[in-house]
Amino acid sequence: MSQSYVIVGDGIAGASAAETLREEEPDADITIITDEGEPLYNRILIKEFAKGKLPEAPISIHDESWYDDRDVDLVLNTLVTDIDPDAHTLTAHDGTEYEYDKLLLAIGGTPTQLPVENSDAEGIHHFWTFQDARDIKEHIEQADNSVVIGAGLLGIDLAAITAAQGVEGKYLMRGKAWWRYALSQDGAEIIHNALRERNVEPVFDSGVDHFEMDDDGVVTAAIDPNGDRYPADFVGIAIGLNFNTEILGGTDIEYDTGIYVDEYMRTNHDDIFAAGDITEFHDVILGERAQNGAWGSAKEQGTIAAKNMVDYGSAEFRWVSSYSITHFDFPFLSFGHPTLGDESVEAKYSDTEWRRLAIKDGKIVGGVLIGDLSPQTKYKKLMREQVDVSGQLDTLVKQDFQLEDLEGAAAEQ
Amino acid sequence: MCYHMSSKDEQPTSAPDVTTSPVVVPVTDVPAGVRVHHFDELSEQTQHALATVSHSGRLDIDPTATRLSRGDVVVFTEYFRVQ
Repeated sequence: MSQSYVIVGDGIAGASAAETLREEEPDADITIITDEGEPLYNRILIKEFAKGKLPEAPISIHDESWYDDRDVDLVLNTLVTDIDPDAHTLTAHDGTEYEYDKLLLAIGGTPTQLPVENSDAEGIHHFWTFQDARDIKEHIEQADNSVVIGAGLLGIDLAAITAAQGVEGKYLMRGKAWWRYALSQDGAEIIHNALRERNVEPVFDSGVDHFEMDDDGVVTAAIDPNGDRYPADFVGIAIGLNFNTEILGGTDIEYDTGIYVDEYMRTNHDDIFAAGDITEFHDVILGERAQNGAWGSAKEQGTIAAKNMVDYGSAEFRWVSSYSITHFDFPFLSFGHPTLGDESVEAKYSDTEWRRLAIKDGKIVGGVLIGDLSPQTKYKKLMREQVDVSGQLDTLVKQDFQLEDLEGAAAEQ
Repeated sequence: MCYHMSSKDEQPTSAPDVTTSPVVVPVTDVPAGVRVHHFDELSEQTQHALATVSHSGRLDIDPTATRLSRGDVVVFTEYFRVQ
């Protein structure tokens, strides 16, 4: 009798799992259930669509024939509301029950709402799905002025969209720097200057106290905690994700902000796995639990989960993720866990070139490169192989750093 | 720039999209029918080649080791079409 695999979520983690499952188990029953109304699309390109630089077509990755060709049953517009691990069943919002032998939860997250007055006014956008991007594009093309909130990797996408659409903007940040947990003032200033050149003004020590709206419920301004008023007919908010753990209520599947999985992507239930943004996975390089929302990481987790659903223990998730920003004329790439570590080292080489490495217990655990990405491979190798670079931090940030520059055991890499 | 040999027979071939390194050129318009890759979708090796590309636009990478194909567009610091 063939195995029955059910995947909840058709993002890159779920879709890559389905592809791997079909390769590994030609006769298995495979079902993907998603609450979205369209098959897999390229989430990391939707910002380019919202900028007005890409048409819709290249954003789609799979059409429905992709699933038909692989004998994968795709169920759209269906929200899973309940899991019964003992019975091996799922229940959807319409009462439909699905049985599984092995289950993969690739259920991702939902943008965090800003808990302030009038945050539900018309004209205030969150940015996560392709439909969000369509709504943002349609609105920003008509907008006169904008406010963006969220000084991180998603917020800067919104700021870049307003810039690309030629809409003057204010980018309200709570601290004194963009992505202040990963960048120093020196590094962040490169980003600030690039934003200013594009008519988006960073506003520091700010944020939002409340929004003003007109009689029709349309946003007109953001008021920050200092009482300063920023007129805006377009507002973009990206302050993080709430991971979709609500369907775990009533089960004993272990989770905190995400679902706990081991390095094989398995939960505390033998037949339930998870992959993608939703996981708090055991990072074998970091030596502790971690979360990661990068595209490559999610894709790899989906593949690894599928292999272990077929043959548990057959493939370990060992991955150094990276995430780049492609909004400026200089490159930007973060890798690993740049906000972690017990010390760091950084260097600035020019007005558009800067590096910072995060170190934990003498080993690289992440970093940010601006302007020159060529050392990426070397730093990732040192991180992946957990090389002790204690006492050689200044060597690491030499502009033309080579692995041969390291001394002692580190030099053997 | 390096001249690539066929990996199978060690003989140079004349099929440029198979045996020579890809060349990328900046573009501003992207037609609906082309395949588009974000930089983050590419392998570390291809990312390195893009990040260190010379003015000629030729990527220093084995053409069989990259998923880039002729006509693809890559989103990086600007949009590049693979020649």
